[in-house]
Amino acid sequence: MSDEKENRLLFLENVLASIPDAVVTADTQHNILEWNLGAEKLFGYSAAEACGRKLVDLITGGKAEIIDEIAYCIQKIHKGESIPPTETIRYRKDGIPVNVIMSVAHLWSGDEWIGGISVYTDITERKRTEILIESMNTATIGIQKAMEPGQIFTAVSKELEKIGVSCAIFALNESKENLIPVYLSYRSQYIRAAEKLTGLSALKFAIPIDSVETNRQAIRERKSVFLSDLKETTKQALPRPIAILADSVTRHLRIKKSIYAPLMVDDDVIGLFSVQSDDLRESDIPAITAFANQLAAAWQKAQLYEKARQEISARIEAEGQIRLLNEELERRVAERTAELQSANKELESLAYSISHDLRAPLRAINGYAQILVEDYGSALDEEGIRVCSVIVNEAQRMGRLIDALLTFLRLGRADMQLFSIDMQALAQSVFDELTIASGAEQIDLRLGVLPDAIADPFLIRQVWVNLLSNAVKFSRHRQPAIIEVGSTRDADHHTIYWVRDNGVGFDMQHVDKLFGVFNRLHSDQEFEGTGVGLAIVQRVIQRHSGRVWATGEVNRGATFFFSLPTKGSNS
Amino acid sequence: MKPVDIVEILLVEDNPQDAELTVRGLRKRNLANQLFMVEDGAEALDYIFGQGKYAYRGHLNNLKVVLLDLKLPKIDGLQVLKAIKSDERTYMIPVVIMTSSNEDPDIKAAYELGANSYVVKPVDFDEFMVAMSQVGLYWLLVNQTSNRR
Repeated sequence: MSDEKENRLLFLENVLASIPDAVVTADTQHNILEWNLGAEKLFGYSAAEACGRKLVDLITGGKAEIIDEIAYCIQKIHKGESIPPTETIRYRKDGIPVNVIMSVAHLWSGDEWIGGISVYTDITERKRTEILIESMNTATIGIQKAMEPGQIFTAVSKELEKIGVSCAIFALNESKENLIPVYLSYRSQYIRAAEKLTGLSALKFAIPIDSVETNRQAIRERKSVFLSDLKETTKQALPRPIAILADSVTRHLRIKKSIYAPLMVDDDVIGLFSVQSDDLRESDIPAITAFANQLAAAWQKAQLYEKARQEISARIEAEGQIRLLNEELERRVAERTAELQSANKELESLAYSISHDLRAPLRAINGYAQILVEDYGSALDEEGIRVCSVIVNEAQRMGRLIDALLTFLRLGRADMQLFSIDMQALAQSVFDELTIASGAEQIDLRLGVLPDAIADPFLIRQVWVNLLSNAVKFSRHRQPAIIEVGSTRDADHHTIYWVRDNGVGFDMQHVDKLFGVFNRLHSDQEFEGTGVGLAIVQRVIQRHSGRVWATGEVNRGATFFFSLPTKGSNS
Repeated sequence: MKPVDIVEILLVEDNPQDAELTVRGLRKRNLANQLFMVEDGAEALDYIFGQGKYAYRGHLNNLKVVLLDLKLPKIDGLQVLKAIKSDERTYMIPVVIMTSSNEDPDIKAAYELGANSYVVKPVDFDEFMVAMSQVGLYWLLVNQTSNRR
């Protein structure tokens, strides 16, 4: 060989040695001829070990699929085809798989095929980064779907644990001075064991930001930090329980490397995200930082959502309390109603007792006074007979008062049955009945248009009887007596009916006495009566949720009004 | 005719004044001779069913009408009414309830038990007389009419 050729070979050897890729040549029988430095590093065999042997015996790890793949490649080479760069897996001498890009080409000497050359590029690192990024992409999809912080943390840890990466999530407290662990994924059995050992909960301790340098940098300087040996952290000024926990976990898991990234929403730091693995690089920082931003946004969204949900549930709770209060109120109303009903029963029995017990002696007074007149009239002078007749009259008047009082009590508690009532026809028929005996000729009845009412017919009839009979009674000395009946509608969904007479009227300063029981503005000699009629009117109208009132002037007549709710209005 | 056979009206009334006035009213219409009076519910039942001190009457029962006050000592008027109306020997006897007031809730109960009529004892003595004697007469007449059939 000439010097020139020698030099050239030496040069090529140097080239081969300096190429970082593994370059392997073999003869047509596949025996290895050359095994460069790159091949030694990649596969772990020295050139001396490899040369003369076959590739299929060295870098398949004994895996059938790789043996098949190599056989397929050889077949193609023999057909004259080369193998373009292809991603695949080969095994090192120590059995560890490596991701490689492999290409194979023919070696020629002139026209003669003398063997093949294969080149392997180590892409294990690239592959690792790809897997990390893919895992975080999957986690990103998961956290975007999550509605609660807990779901977010689980989604993150689930994906990262798949590729052997643990994570921890801390919230920055309100003072922005402490980090509170909210999620620790360090494989849970170790956490649990450590918690059991120390009797502490890993999630309870606030960690001052400045006690750990990596935390300080991440939070204060807002930059992601790579830590090559986690044990450094535990040596720092962590609160003791946390230090014990962290040490225990890192030791058991043999975790060494970690990346700390601030969790930021807009320009606000809300917490800290850290990942731990044996297999992290400083070069992973951009990927982890990008993921931390996604996590921060999702977390804040979930917090807002949770807050809204708490507000809603607080409102629902408040509504529940209102309902409870209402039920309590209803219960009390029911109790009071029951008490009132029992009081009414007592009143009823009192009324019965009045009717029975007071009327019996009255009957006797009346009856015996009459016997006196009938049987002993001859023994009495005129004055004696007059005295007897006063006794009889007064006893009878008391009987009427008791009857009126009983009527008043009965109307106050009678069950009401509501019907639509033709008020105009009712007023006319009551008037006709009242005047059939005394004669209506002297009375000028001016009956206006009266709208129908929704009321109890029996009770409302009593109202007309009492009002019209009063009008007739108190205007009987007038020539002619004029009685007007009419109606108006007020703004409050009530119809007002009124009865006006041109009779004796009353002084407005006594108006509040008109509707009281037994309150009378006239003596029995002037105008007979029991003093209960208007009290009954008031009672009946009040039971219909209406109102009664009156206006009048002495000797110039009186007007009595009552209002009733109209159809469709609440009563 | 034995004296017991004359009795056609039984007056059950515990108030002596009401009783006296009632008797006076009936006497005015010549009905008092046929009247017998008891003062409580227990005695009324003894008389009607011919038991106790009225055992001598046996089952013979020619009562034309019972005028029955409701508020009575021992056994009250409603129970007396129930006994009369639930016994086949006596249920045909007309019973007129006498009450102090229209408002008496017992009036309804009395009608449900089969009372034939009721009269409110008015304060007015004359009204009372008229009401009592008319009721008495009416039921005497009705009963006689039905007896003749």
